[in-house]
Amino acid sequence: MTAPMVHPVLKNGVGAFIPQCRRLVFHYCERSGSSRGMIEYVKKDLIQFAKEHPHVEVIVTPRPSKHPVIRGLYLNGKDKVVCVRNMEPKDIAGKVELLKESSGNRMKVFKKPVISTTESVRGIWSPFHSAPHKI
Amino acid sequence: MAGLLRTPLVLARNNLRVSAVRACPPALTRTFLINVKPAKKSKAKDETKINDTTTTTSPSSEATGATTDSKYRIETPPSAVVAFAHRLGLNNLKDQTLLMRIVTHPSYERVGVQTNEGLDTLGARALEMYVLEYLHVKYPKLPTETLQEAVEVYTRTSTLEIMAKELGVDDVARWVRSKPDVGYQLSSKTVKASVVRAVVGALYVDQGPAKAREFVHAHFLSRDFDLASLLQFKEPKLYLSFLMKRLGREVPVARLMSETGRKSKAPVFIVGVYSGTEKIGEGFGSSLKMAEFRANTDALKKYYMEEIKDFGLPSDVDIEGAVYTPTKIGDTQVIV
Repeated sequence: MTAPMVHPVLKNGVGAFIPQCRRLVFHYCERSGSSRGMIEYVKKDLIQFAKEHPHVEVIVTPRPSKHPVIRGLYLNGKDKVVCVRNMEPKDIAGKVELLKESSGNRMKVFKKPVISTTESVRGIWSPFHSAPHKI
Repeated sequence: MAGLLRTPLVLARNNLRVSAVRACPPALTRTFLINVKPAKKSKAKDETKINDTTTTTSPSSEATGATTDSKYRIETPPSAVVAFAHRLGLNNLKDQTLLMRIVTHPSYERVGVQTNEGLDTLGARALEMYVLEYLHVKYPKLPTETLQEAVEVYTRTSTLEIMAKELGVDDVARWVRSKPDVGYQLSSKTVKASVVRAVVGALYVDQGPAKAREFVHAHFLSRDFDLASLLQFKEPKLYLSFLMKRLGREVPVARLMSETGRKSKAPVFIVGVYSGTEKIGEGFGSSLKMAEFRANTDALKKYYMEEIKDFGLPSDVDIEGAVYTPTKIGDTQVIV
């Protein structure tokens, strides 16, 4: 008895939802002015963020003489980096939100109107291309 | 340790120790857990460097023993384990020390370190049991061999390894890589699969069978898999006639239902299989033979894949207040 080499496929959100962002790394420099907003964000808002999102590992580490960046690492092995130089804490919070919510996949253009595992042969029904409805 | 584990926020510092501390508010400086070596210049490997070079400096004596084989040792910062636990809903474990135990493979031998050996074994059995129980009750007519194959598909190492990646086990597994000169090479797949099984085992021990079952249903059985693809028949016509005989029904007869382009390059035939007046299967094909083959296979799949809706499971008795009402039990396999 050996089953063929097939594997059940994850449908994230069916049964359980696994948040895809696993780690956020905050790099800042304490001498340069471009990190001013970042340092303020780390001091004031980051602990609250970490408490609210316990599934994300938060790491703060200095990177001298460089602009501040936030790096998001994802379960699919990819990462996303956002430069937050000269940004205010409010804007940085927005970027953090963006990284946290991202799936880590690359941006792609959806060319087909329907994405489905069981695609219909006939496509989407359109009211403009069928016989008019009679009562 | 438990108190520290609850805080996922970890501050890392590099060699610029003084300035790093100065930049952080005093409250944060106390939560230093990780000592990160200065990141390398290479962009792509930046993060893995952080991951590899971090060493736990938690108060427990686990990580203090210096070993010569540190090159092969894969360590885990506690903060990553806490994030992993929250991702999987393990944050409610009564015994929080189980977390480190789940992610520690037996290859990670060290004095005073608990490994996931027992949890792995228990988890493997619990996992198989819950998957088997669910499939058996949902598809009572499924042949035993196919049922066993289905359980294998859901619980084998390669599936668990894929799951491990999707759950973020790569980040937290603690183990020791085999040295190149050793005959048996421990695979990272084995390690990751053991961690996934240990999660089920830990839930079973700590939270009880109901929670373990909930986890198996949510993370394993919710996956998309076409069970009917496991049903393969070499001679469906013969098989179907034996099945009908066993069920005491009329001999199956194939009838041509419609056709197009018989003389053309691309003909299509649609054949239906009838037992008496009841149509039990339908198939298409570019030849009559192929269409009949498909129709017979379809009839068999329809019979064996009969699905029970709104069923109870035998393990319902583990849940307080729930009563198990058995559904019908399927027939044994047809001998051809």
